[in-house]
Amino acid sequence: MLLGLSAVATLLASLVFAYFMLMFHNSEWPLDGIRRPAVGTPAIGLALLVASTVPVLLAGRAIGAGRQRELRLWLATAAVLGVVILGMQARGYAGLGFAHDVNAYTSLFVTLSAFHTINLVIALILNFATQARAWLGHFSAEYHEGVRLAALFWYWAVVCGIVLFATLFLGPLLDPAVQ
Amino acid sequence: MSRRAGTLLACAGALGALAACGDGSALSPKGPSARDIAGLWWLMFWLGLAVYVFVVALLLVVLRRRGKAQEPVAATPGEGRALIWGAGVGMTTVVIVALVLVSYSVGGRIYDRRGTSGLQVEVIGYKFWWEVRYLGRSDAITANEIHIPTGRPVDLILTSRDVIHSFWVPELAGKLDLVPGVRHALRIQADRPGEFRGQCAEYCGVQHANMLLLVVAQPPDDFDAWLDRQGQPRQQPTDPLTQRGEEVFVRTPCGACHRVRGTTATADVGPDLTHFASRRTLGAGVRPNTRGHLGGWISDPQAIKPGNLMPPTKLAPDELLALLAYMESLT
Amino acid sequence: MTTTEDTRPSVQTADLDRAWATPPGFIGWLSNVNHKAIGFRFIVTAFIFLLIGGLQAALIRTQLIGPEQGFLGPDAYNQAFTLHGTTMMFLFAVPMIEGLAMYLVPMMIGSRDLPFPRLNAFGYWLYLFGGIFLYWSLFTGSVPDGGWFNYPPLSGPQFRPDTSIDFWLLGVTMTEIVGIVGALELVVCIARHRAPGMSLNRIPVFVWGVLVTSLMILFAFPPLVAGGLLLELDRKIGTHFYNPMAGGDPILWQHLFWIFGHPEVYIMLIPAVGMLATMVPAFTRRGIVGYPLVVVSLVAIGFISFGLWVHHMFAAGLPALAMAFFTAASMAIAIPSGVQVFALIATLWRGKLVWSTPLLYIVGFVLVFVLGGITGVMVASVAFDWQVHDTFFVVAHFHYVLIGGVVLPILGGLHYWFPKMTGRMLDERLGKIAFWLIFGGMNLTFFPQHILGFLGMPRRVYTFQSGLGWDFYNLVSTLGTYVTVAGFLVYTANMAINWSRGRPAGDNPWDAPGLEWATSSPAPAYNFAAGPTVSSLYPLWEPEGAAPRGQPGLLDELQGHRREIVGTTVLDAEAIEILELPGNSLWPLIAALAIVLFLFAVMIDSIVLGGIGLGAIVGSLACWLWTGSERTHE
Repeated sequence: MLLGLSAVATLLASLVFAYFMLMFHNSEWPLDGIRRPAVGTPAIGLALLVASTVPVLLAGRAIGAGRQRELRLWLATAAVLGVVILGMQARGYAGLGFAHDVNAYTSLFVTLSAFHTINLVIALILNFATQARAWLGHFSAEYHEGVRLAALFWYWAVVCGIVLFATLFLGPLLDPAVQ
Repeated sequence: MSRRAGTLLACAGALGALAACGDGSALSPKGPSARDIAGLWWLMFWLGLAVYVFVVALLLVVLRRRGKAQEPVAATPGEGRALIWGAGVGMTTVVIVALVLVSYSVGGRIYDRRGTSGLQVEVIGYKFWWEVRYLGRSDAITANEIHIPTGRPVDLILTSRDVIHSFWVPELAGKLDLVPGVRHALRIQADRPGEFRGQCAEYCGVQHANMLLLVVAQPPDDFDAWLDRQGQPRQQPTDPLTQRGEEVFVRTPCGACHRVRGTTATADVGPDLTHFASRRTLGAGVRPNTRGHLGGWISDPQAIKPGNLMPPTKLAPDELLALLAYMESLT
Repeated sequence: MTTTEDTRPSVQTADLDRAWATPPGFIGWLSNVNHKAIGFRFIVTAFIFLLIGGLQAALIRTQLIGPEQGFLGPDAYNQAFTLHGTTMMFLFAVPMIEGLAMYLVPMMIGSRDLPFPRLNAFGYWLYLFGGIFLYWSLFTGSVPDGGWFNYPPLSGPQFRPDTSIDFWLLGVTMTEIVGIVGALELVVCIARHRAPGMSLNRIPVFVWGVLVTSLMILFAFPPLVAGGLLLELDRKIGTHFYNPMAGGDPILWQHLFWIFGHPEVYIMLIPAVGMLATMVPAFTRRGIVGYPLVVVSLVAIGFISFGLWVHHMFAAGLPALAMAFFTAASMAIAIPSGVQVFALIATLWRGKLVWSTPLLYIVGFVLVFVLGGITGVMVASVAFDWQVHDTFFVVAHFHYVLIGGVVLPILGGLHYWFPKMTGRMLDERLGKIAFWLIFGGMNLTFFPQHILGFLGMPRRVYTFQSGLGWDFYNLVSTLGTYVTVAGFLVYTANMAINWSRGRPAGDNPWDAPGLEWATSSPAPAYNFAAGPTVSSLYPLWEPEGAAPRGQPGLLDELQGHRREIVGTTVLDAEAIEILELPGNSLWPLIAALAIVLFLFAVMIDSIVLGGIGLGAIVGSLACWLWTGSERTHE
């Protein structure tokens, strides 16, 4: 699983590489007079995302000690946070003011954001599957690989969110043209 | 076994030497940049040959040894260490450090010659031909043929209007890509008058093979005269046949894509034809520029260079004759 | 040879046969997940693709037999070299290496199977469908012709609006995913399922090579997957990543492609070289000399190979300082490569040679690969590369490297392990004829191409004019290709004839030292009835009675009535757990089909079909996971 994630992480690194390469390739960034994206709301989303690691962590602890009800509770809490973040992202897309096909900047912005959304959706699907199995009583203090793997992917989605926040919202500040 | 390897080596040496003789070769340099690189090659060739001979000789000695029959055993620790460290690590490292340093120095020399001095010529890649613009004399536009004065550095500004191409004239310099949206600078220089063959070196589509060009080095005076002429509008047609030819050119699809300065044909989809008759080739080097070939080219360019962007032109026989006479008058 | 013959009473082979059996019939065949069945399918399929790629090479060379030939014409020629490169890199080399690894590695390290058998089967189906997908383009009339490097803008929506490039991108992406999936599995297998006692210093060199390569795949393939994704988005939904008119940059593709593309060369080379080092002791009657150095330098090659990619872009007009760095790095990789070559020579020197066909391939490797390596050091020099880049000199260089460093070792390896896979020996005389034809033919083909490069002949040209001094060398090169083709025909015939009629091989026909020879040929589905233990690098060469017998502990608890393998620690390979493997399943096949359906929908822009495909992917994966076993890695 960790090995698989390292391959996905390399995929993310390649996309970030593409972003910065094209940013430094152009003398103006964002292109065509598009304004730099506002940091405020995405920062709140990011804070929620980081906060969501706490219930995921607690879920793992709970099943490690064999506490089934606590497991279900914390998984559900994480899921609620995830859905809220997804909702914020959807609103973000709606208020973007540009589509992916305007220029290289908008293409990058939309594609990289979508990459995070997809990862978050997968993390949520795994979370729901784990919840279902938790209700069916599949896990015990000894055997709970499923919980561990779903948690691992959740952490990955959080890391991905942090990296892409830094790239999309803080990255343009590195552009020499800004100073 | 040994004879085989020996023959192979002999061939290597002989063929390597042969390669140097051929005209048009990167190893018969006609300018400083290509000369530096050829020198680098010969150094690397002898070093490489020495290494290869050493490996093959060692292998031959090893293979001819008759080892003692013995129970199979694992190698003892440290066995063969001298060979692996000495040859594998030691020899390789020495050769490589030497080559890195020489390579840096040659590369550095070629870079140092770059600058903004000298004559600037913009070379723009198209599928599948080259547009050549002499900067500072914006009217001098030609195609597939670059004239340069001998003994003077010329800076080529390379870019592309469609896909990636690569500019390469082996006798003068190494190659450099023509990338859309970017301008690269390549300095070339020819020592003596001559014609040097070049070709697109980056796969650019169906007719990549026939995207040829010619660099013509002339004594500076001849070059100046040539450039002056290229900057002029077209030769005014004087006789009725060529006048008819110009009419045909402007009226038919010719004028929809090509420019002849001084007429109403000002399109820039295809090559500028203002001084077409002064060029040595047509279709970016696929044929010599003769009346017969030109007639065939105009009628059906797809038969000669399938996939190029010029459509066939249907003309009445007398129109074609007039057009050919006109094209030949564009000196 | 005490390591394997101590059958413990607790394990009944009848139980094992039942637990590891494949259901009869075609459906049973489709559901087989055993590592040997899947590895074997990989090998056979990759070999067929090798022959197809070779046929394309013969077509290419026939078109270039002389000036102004009309044999293929520009379109067919450009398609032929595109498919040749793509087939050899994506459909032959990597799958062949992974197939051999899947077949051999579990046996070499004393395991009964790979840890994720169904993932393995999934990989094979996706590989097969990826190959078919790419070649399906032949029937649609829009065949990919962007080269195996597929540079935009030429491959972008503006200049190639038809589906040809989509076939290429999606087919290649499928094989990339296969590569990643196979790599994951091989890493886990090698790290966690070695026979007890097989500590790091007792791992066969081939297995080391596979480990290094698999780790490299995990980091080298995703950049191309990313690059391909961006290009497909450009083509399908109008993004502008590579469009210079809207702030994009075609050079971005070149970076992403070569960050994959250069390690790719070593991804193929490292296990191939490891294969040689693993075979050579059987023919020298002496272990590989300098084992630790060989292993360390394989690892070093793996690391350095990630710092070389820009040397494919020396003519792209990048900053001088960057290019200087890549010159040094590109040349530095010659040092660990030199270690490989001289370790082989030293082993030949110390041993008593047995002149069987595989030894010819080992010697052939040294002769060919060293020459390719020397020209490789040359093209690493930026200034020199400006002249020869994208010319036939480079074509000659990398064919020397790839044929010498990958194809010859693989051919030698197939000759060597053929008895293990079929239980039959190949014919030695035919084997030697094939070797000499291939070896001679490839030299005749590629040596003259060095000279063509100097004479100004660029790559990928479908024709050339006479009078340039190119005619003779092209003719020789083409004739050489025909000789090589003849060699491959002999090689293939040798296999076809002796597949079922060859001399029976017995367990260990070469008297080789590796663990894979400790079981019958071909091996039973479970490889070893009793888990073997290992006490040296060459377990079968241990004197009688030297190996520790029947260590008590976990191995004794291995059950016969279900599929179980032993889990061991990473460093010292101490047995710590017993894991149960899932059995045969059709879900991997269904999941692979679902992915093909989805990609096909992307191709024809059908949203409905795409939705169905996506649903099918999720559904089949869910069923796959649900039918898993609780006591496995997940």
